[in-house]
Amino acid sequence: MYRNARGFMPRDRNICLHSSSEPIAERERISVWVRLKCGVSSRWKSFTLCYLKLKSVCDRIFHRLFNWDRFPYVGSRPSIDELAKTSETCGWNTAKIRFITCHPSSMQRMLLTSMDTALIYENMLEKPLCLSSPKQQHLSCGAFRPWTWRQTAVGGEGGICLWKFSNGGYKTMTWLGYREGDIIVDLQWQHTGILLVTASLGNQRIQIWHPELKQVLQELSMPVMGTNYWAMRYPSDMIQLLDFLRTQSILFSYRNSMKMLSSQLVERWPLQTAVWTAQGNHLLYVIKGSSKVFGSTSTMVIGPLKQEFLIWSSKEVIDLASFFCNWHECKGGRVQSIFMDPLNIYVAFIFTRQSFVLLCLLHIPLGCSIKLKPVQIIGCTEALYAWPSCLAFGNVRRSGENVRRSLIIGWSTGKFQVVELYAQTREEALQLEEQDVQFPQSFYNIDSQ
Amino acid sequence: MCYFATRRMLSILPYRLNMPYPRLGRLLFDRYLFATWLCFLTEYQLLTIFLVYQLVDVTNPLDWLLELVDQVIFSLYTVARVQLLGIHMATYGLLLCRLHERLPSCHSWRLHRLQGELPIKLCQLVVLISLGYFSSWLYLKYMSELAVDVDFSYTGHYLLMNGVFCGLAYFLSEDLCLGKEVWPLPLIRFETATWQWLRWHHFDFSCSLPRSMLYTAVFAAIYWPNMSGDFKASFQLIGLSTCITTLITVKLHAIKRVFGTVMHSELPLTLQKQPPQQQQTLPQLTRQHMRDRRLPVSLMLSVSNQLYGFQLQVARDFYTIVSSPKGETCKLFQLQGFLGRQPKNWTALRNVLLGNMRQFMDLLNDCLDAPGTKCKQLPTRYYAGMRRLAPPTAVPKVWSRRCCGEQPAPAKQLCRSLWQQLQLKLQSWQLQQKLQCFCKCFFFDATHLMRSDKQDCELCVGRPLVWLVPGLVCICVRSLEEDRHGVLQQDLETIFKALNDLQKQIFAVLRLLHLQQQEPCATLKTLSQTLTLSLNKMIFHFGDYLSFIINDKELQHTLECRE
Repeated sequence: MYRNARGFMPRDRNICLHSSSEPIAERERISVWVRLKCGVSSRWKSFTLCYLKLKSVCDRIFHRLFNWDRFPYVGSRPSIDELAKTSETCGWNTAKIRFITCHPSSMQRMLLTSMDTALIYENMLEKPLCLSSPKQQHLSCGAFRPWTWRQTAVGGEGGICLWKFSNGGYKTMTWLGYREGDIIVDLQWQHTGILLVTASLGNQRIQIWHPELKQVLQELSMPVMGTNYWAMRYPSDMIQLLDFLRTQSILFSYRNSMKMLSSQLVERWPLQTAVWTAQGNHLLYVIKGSSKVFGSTSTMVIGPLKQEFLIWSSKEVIDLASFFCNWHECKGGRVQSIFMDPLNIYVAFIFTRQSFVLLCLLHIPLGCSIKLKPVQIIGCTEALYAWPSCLAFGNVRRSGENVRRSLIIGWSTGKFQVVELYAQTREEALQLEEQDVQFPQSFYNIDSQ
Repeated sequence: MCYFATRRMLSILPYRLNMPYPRLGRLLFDRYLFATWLCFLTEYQLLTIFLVYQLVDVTNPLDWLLELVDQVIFSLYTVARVQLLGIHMATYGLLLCRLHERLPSCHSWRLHRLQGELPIKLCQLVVLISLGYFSSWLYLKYMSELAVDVDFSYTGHYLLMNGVFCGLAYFLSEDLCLGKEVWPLPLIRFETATWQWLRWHHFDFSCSLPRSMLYTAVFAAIYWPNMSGDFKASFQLIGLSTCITTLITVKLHAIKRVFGTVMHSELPLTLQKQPPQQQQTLPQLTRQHMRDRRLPVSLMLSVSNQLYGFQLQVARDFYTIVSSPKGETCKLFQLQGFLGRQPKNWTALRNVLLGNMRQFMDLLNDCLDAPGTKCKQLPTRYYAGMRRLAPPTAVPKVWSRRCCGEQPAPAKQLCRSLWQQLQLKLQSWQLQQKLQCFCKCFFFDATHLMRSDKQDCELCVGRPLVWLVPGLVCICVRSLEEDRHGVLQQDLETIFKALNDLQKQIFAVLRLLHLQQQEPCATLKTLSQTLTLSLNKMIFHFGDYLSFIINDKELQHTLECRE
């Protein structure tokens, strides 16, 4: 009946003449085939959407199932207080400068502040470059990438930021994410600069990242709190350390696991801090909550089957609860962190409750135990009631020349102090100490710049 | 018996014993045999677990244990049955080794790639299914011998099919992807393969237990209509099937892991060109020296070696040797020979390393020169909904003046039958042409040697360079202190030139990819970063002496102007 309606319907749809006949005519216009196709395609679309949603949910469940051993949390998620308690920085919660690090082969220095920014100083005369990002929070550690001059990694809560910056102020950031709420405690580049080694608090694991591929290549478990201090602070890199510590024989290879290495080196105590000597033969460490410094030395032993393996023996080096420095008796207390000079001459200590930094001379005579001799106490001369929050040794090493070293101390008032060290050998240092030579110092402020 | 069977399989193995480096072939073959033997023992382990689960009798544990060991595990029947499974495991290990050692290659035609990889994938599928089937068969045999109270006609069928399903599911989840890395190279390996096996670390429960639960559940769901209504029997069946599925899944994972650990054990490498045993000039000394089983690095890295997985491992072990402070690098710079004192060790190593770099540079050259393959342009677009770029041709006005301007096509459709309409539709899609194009082309306007979305492409033959270049730089830096005869100094210019040229080539390739808006593959990214870092390190250490070392002014200028 309505077939001829087309001839009589005006072309303009806006003029609505026969509204009742309109829908029927509409249906006539669209053929059966098209309607069917529309219906099928809409159902197909809704089906694929549902399928995709289901697939994503399933993927998440199965990923969690298959990798359940990779996400174990010790108790609840780590909090900032836990980080403050275990960090090497004194008074992490209130310190203005939270971490200082220096480039291994040039003059660049990086300071991590409590405002969650990283300040890069090329030299002390210019304004520092400021790196900040909303993802970068609660910064705890950082490291420059070796053999590059414009790349650095900064670790905080939730992940690692890899920065590439240039002189002109151009910056790019790559983000390597962890689980939410996980905090990175320690960060170290491999010696060639290709791989990045990190330790995180919630995961209790040391992870080796490939920053270009953004993947974790390997994970090692930390059996005891503080394993990362001896594992990651080796002068060249962690992979070489673990290679060095392994025993190669058939019978004694069972000793090769992080637990056994930890029990050999530090007798499985939870560590507050540790440093290696530059050749990697001696380890100085401090147990959590103690004021005694222990030294662990290795000796090569030939076993019954003519194979060689290393044996580590620990001895107490010095008790810093009270010590003598320049014929004055000083009280030390609990040690917060130790730092080693790249040339193995000086060792610096920060105490939990003291407002000075102690500088000692290191002496490792052949065949005898390690000796530490306190030589100088560095206090903050610019302000009263300031305590040191963190410290770093920086150097510029040029082959053939003298190595210029500096000691950078961050104080709680937001200033940092740069002390130049000149001694190239231990004898020189002893001479300088005898003659009571003062090291040149300078103070800088991070707020005003 | 199995030993002879495996010897006959020698021709299929990638490690032929009569290859140019017989010691290498012997080493790899020994490792393969050791891994197979460990897998045999793994099978015994799992069988013991199964029997303990079935037979546990707490009242008389000692008698029962003795009986178990004496009459079941070490009986001839068991040995014979386990041999059958052992053959399967040996074959599977063989296929995995082949996959591990094949050179990464890029096929510009998907058909060729399918042709190349399909046979080995099919073999894997067949071996896995058969392994699953025969494992179930073995456990059923023991159950029937020990007179366990189970209805064997129905249960047997169910469990055999379950085994087959396990093998199939494992294949689909693990081995289906073409070009996936079989055993990723480990950075730090603590324990040797033997100790890992002894401490049961090859059983990766975290990976296999969730999967086995999944397989049991899925298979039970598939078989649900066939199950009898008896709940007790069904529960018993599901319990048995869980147990067997777990054992089979754990075994399949363990095989891969055992093979991976054994193959990736540390290689006995030496930096000397010829270990002392092979010297021909002083035969009487060889009897007094300990037999030196070490392999010289310069031979292992040589270009004609077609074993890709092995080359990666050699490169990494080379870097470890060279960068450890207590190594034998001092032997590298020794002068040898009686009349003409030459640094043979260093020369051999240098030739091999520079040869590798040169081969990779030639490959990159090919990439840059090859014209992009253009696909045959299809006459219609893929997406029918897209707007035409050109206005449609005018429709002839043959309709009556009542509907002037309307297109005749919709009305014409009503005249044709459904079948003809379907045919028209099919033709308009042009499936055949599309299929041909799919098989033939990968990317439009793409350099066909670099496929960036897959894990392997032709450029991945350069992956060993990621370890070799830092190793070379490490040797150079150490020569500053250890090289007493100045052996390395003459070659410094060649090394700088080679590194610089390689870096220029890689930058050119990256630029080309950037212009074509393609992601570079992982190897290129890693390699370019490695080269930059290594060159920086070289310049840092030799920076003061550049003018003395390098005679080429242009190269010197380029190096000094680096950032």
